[in-house]
Amino acid sequence: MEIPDEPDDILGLGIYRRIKTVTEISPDFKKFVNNLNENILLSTDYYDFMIKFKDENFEVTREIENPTIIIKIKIEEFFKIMEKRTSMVFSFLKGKMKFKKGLTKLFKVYKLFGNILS
Amino acid sequence: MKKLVGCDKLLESSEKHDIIKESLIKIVGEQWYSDFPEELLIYSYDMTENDPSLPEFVVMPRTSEEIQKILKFANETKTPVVPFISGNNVGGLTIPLKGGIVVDLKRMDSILHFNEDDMYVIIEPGVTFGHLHAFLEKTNYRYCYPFAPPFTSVIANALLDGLNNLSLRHGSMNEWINGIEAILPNGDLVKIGTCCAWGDNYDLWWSRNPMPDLLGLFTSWQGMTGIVTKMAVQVWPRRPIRDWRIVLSFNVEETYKFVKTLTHLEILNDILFMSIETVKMIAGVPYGKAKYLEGEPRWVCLLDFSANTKLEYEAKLDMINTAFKKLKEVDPKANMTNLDVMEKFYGKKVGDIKNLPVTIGPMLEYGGLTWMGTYMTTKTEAVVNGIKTAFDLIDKYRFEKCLYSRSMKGHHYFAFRFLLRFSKLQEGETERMQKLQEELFNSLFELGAFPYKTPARFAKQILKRADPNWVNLLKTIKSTIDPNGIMNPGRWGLE
Ligand SMILES: Cc1cc2nc3c(=O)[nH]c(=O)nc-3n(C[C@H](O)[C@H](O)[C@H](O)COP(=O)(O)OP(=O)(O)OC[C@H]3O[C@@H](n4cnc5c(N)ncnc54)[C@H](O)[C@@H]3O)c2cc1C
Repeated sequence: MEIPDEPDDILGLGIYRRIKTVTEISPDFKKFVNNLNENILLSTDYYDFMIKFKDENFEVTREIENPTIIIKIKIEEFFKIMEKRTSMVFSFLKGKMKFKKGLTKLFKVYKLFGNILS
Repeated sequence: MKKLVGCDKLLESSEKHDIIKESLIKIVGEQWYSDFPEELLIYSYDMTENDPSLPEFVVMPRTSEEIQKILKFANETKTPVVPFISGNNVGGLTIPLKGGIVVDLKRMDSILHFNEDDMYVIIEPGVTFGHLHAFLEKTNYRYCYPFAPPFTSVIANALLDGLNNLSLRHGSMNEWINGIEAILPNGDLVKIGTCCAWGDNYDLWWSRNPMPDLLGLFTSWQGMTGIVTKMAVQVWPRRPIRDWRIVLSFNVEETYKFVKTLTHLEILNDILFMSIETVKMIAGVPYGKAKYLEGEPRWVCLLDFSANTKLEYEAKLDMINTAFKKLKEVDPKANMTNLDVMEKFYGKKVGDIKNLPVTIGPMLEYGGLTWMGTYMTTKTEAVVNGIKTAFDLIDKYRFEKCLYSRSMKGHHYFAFRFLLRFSKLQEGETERMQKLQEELFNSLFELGAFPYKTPARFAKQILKRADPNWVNLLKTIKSTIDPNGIMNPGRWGLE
């Protein structure tokens, strides 16, 4: 996997580093993201940004184009999941994490964020 | 690099040079003396934008007696002396403005005594924050740590009125000094504090009260009145539970009010109020790229607290949560999380805030680091106005807006500072930084911000603006203690 430049925005930088760290420590996760080929738009109450997975590369950017999955979530909810005050499934069921596009790819999203946020 | 002051002097006075060399070698031994240009160069500059200037000699004494001899000799020959430990003061304070002898105190690195009952440690000047931390880890006591690298000196920072992660509780570092041993410019050895009565008994260095407090003859004097050779510094019981919270917010006034509310509850060890750029810098965003971007939280507060029991911890957390809820009512997108979450996202560099003293690499990687570091009033208008003024100026000169501020002594005053990275390798950048610093100083001084670890060029301007009677008293004290003006000449705008 080619390592792109780090993003300069605070959310993108965090997500980028987290994906990088988890791919370094988990061969399974690395294999998973290498085959992901999705453009995930994270729409937060701070701002929107995209995680693009393509051909074993990934990029985190604020340039929004052709999302295949759109997730809407507040940063507060994000922190709650990280702090284990709630779970992704619970957030989803309570409508605090919403799919605006790509609901059929729920499993992929669950695996991706399950690893990033765990 | 600019032409080094001191070079001409070195060539002109070779006879005097030889005499001084011989005498210094006699005192410290050949091994601990140098006048090699390569070694002198190291002592001629620091990381800041301050102009370099060469010393003529460097010595590394080991004992108070050797220092007595060095100062006596320097006084007789009217040779300038600059005390030095690691030169990390971020103010150009060890640059030998008038050449002379640099007295490097690194070899005096013993922790001489630990009095557990009265809770203090007696140390020598070369003892670093790293040393002291390692020593105290084996006890139930703690000291306090600045954001500085672990190889910097505790004594130097205490003498400079430094600030650190217990300053919210206890104020600046000079307030925790019980007593000192110091060598005056004429070579006399003096003891200040209760040790004036029982100096040889390390168990009786327990306070500087009740007697006229002469410590002020040495604190914030930047080595202009003598060399401190021993210091008793207070330590405190370490609490078993310690935790941190990070608050991200958007509204400057409301965030500052939140800071104030928390300080008045008296439950925290420390509270930092930073801009997002500072967090990016700490996280390792390269120089020039630590910028605020649309939509990001603008401010970040770091709350450090500790407790003896789970119950105390929960009560404190409850108070923090309540204060945060109030902030959220007026700054709805504000969020709070813990440091572990931040560490997970941004890596060890951010998590290391828990492990002070550490070297915050991204601050030092680019060859240039300086600050506009001040102590100022806590008044909301002054702080908010100060941030706006400073940000406009930093923008004008195209540097990064890294605010790193802290409430001091229960919010009796405020440490208001901007960390400024720059690159010395880039043509014109040092000069640009000098101009920015000049403007920052002028604007912030007007708002009631007094630069600490005051660089010489600001000190000169302060002397022009300060009460003339204060200036006269300062000059009288200096000329009484150091009539030949040998100690770190040029500092504080005094020759
Ligand atoms: C990245 C970075 C972050 C920092 N963050 C902080 C911070 O958060 N808070 C803070 O307070 N500081 C901070 N500092 C500053 C720094 O830690 C202190 O100023 C430092 O601890 C002083 O130690 P030093 O070894 O550098 O002293 P030096 O720079 O060698 O000496 C400092 C001054 O004291 C004089 N002096 C030294 N020894 C003696 C002596 N024995 N007797 C008399 N005078 C003496 C010198 O002549 C000079 O004027 C930071 C520095 C860096 C590089």
